[in-house]
Amino acid sequence: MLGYFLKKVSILALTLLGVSLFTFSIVRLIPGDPIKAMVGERGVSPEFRAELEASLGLDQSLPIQYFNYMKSVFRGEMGISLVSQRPVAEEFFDRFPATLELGFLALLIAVVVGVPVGILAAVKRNTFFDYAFMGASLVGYSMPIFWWGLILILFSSINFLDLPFLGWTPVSGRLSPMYFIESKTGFMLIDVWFSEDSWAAFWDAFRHLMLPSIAMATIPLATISRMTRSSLLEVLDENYVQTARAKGLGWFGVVVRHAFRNALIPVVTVIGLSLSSIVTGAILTETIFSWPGIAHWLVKSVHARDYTVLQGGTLLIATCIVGINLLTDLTYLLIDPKLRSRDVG
Amino acid sequence: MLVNPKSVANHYHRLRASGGLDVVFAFAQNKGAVLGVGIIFFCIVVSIFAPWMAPYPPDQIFVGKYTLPPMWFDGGVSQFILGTDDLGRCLLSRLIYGARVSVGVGFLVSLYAFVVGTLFGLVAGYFGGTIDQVIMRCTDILMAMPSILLAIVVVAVLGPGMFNAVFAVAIVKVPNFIRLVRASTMAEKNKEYIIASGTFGASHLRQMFINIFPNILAPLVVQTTLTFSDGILDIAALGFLGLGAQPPTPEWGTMLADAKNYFLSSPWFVIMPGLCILLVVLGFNLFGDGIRDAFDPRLKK
Repeated sequence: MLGYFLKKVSILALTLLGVSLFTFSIVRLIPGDPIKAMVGERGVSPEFRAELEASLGLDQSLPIQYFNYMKSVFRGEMGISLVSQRPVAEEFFDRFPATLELGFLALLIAVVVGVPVGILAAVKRNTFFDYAFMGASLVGYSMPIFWWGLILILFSSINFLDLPFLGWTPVSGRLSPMYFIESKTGFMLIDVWFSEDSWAAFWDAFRHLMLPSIAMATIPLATISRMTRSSLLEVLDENYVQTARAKGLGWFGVVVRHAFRNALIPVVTVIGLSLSSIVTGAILTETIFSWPGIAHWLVKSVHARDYTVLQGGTLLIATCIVGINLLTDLTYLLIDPKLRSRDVG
Repeated sequence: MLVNPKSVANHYHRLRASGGLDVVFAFAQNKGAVLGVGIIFFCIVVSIFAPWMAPYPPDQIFVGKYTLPPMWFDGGVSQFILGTDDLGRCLLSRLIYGARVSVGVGFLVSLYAFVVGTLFGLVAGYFGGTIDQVIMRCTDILMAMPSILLAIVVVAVLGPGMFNAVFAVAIVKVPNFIRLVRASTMAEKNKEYIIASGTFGASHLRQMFINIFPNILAPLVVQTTLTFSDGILDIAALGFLGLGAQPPTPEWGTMLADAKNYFLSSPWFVIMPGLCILLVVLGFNLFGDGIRDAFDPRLKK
């Protein structure tokens, strides 16, 4: 078990090193050079150029530049945004809770809906229920999220067809302007509790979260339900499941206690992988719903040619993803006793 | 979507022995898969014959005919079946030409990912050792970044545009191919026929490309189909973010980005391009699922 853990951690360290090399080279790969990107079209005098290069450490050799870059990364300095002139790390952590809150809710929806639907589809295999849900999930999987978000806005916020029970979900932002909230944690649902009229503000924040989280949950939901179904179907054919049935256990006992636990590994893998599709979803969802998170910020930085933001943001996001992948690997240990008893993974 | 190389490959061998007919049969029995083929066929026909099918050229502007609704709504005219966009261009014509763009980019993305991924995967799986470690660590790095984010970074470096976007999305898809090909190659290279061929003095190149490659094609075909649909989706997403095809290219994602500014007044303008994307991607996913199930009859009983 310790061997498995150490192996995973060393691969993680190597991967992060590679990612840092990649983000380091982004700035060096821009057509032209970083100084040109910084000063814009008019150009600079050779003296000022040399001065700028020295101040950015660009006059040194590439390995030394990389070494300096890594040194500042370990100190938590990701450079200064070329546009806002604020530290990139600070801007990142200002926006990170917004994305995290949205992503967490989306993943929650995906798991809470996806797993039971997958189980039901497997148990009621080849019935109308199975076909309907798996058809729907394939459509969900094929959905362009940026379009789906717009459709959600069209039908439920703007209430284009004027349906009586819709129209209460706001289109953009995290909170209505009538509530003034002092941001303590950055998580809106938590912050509103400390405000004056906590219930009304909580409900308001929740309504703002509804549509973006549904849009973001769609693809992970589809993948999770499909994977739950197929991995449970494989397990349901095994002998021990038939034994459990023969003993007279009801379907709940057979499916939930015996089969589902063994079907979990691929499902956990998919949930882990979904986190990466959550980030992808975030990039599109945040753009549509003007959600002030990191993904929206990164897309804007591309348009503004703010390369330090792109560099730092990418490194931070990749670090999160790699960390989550490690957590997924460690979850296997909890689920699979075979892995736990083995010394070297 | 995940492909299990082992199970697909095993059944593939068995089915090849029977002349492959039962794969075709199993596939034809799958209604979803047949529907998928229908959609793909339709889409390919439309993209080939776009100049004859579209009523107008995709960038012909009709002055004064801005954002007309489809002909069956109030204010629609029969001259423009699906209405016009904000610049007075025929929406139907643009959607038809858009099929051409989408099928083209899907093809390019999956071709690129297939070729590059297969090369590296074969080398990694066949030789093993250090070269395998190096290749696999590189795929780890690429996979540590969410696909769209990586594509965005690549586009940021190369600059927005159709071909840069295709290149960016293809790079993102390569690691999946490398992993799949590597796993299949490793399973294949210790089989008797490869060892026997080696003792007869077959060169490494012959072993990799003539002996192993045809036998790992089955899972690759499935992966390629799924990459086709992913590629279309990602290119449309980049187009939507303004990083892919640039106007006036009639690309569905770019059209959506344009349409979203008008969606309060002209909702159909948003609905149509998205429906096209959904339909084509769904077609390829149905097709890919169908082939996978046909190679692996265990799942259907």
